[in-house]
Amino acid sequence: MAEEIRAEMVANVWKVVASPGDTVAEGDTLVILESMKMEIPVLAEFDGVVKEIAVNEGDVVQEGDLIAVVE
Amino acid sequence: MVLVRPATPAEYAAIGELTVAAYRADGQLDDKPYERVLRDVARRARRNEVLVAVDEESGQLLGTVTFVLPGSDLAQLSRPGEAEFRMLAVDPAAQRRGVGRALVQACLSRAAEHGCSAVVICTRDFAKAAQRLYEGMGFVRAPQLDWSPVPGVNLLGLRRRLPPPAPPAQPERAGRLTSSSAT
Repeated sequence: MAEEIRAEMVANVWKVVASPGDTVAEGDTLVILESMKMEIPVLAEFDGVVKEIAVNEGDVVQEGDLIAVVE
Repeated sequence: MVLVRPATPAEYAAIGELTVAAYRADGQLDDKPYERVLRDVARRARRNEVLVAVDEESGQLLGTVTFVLPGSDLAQLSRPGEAEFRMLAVDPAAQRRGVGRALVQACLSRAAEHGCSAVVICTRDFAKAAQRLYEGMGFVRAPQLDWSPVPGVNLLGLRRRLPPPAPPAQPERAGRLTSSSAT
């Protein structure tokens, strides 16, 4: 099973926490997005391995953009 | 008097603490996490201009703002030809001294220098003191810029139009007239 995690809003990629190959548990932070007045952690929704991190720090993501793939 | 100037890296830590303190005092950290971002001044200085307000005599840090142009990582509202500012914060102990106004004015001046037609910002809906400051400086509500990044966080958009750049001065033509009348 692979999970594609996509941005839910326009935001700035503030910090990339996880790397491809990392083993993550449900609820682990993969990436932290920054948006007006708040920071938004992007979390793994199930236990797995990070297959891809599709963003870099400083990138601006639009709603629907791919952020990470966990499988 | 309050002096506004670009921040230096040696000040980043203090600026971060001041920003967090100001947001906390205004109730803006109660509901959503934002503290790590607010504290990371080096990060916002990477591609944007971080300004500080200091007491001209003592040099004491009084406030900060980040001036942002479209295309920067922090730009979220501005379109080409506009500017925005973010993370405006005044030391809670230095409020009501015109610090916020001086910082906003510095952003308006920078936007004008860049030839921008407007400055766009947004505020939390409950930030009434900030809204009074902005409205007193010519910002008007721009409901088309309102948005809500997550439920419960309601942001109100404001726009301050800038006068079009002054028409180019005429010395060239005057010079030609002078020279033609001289020949």
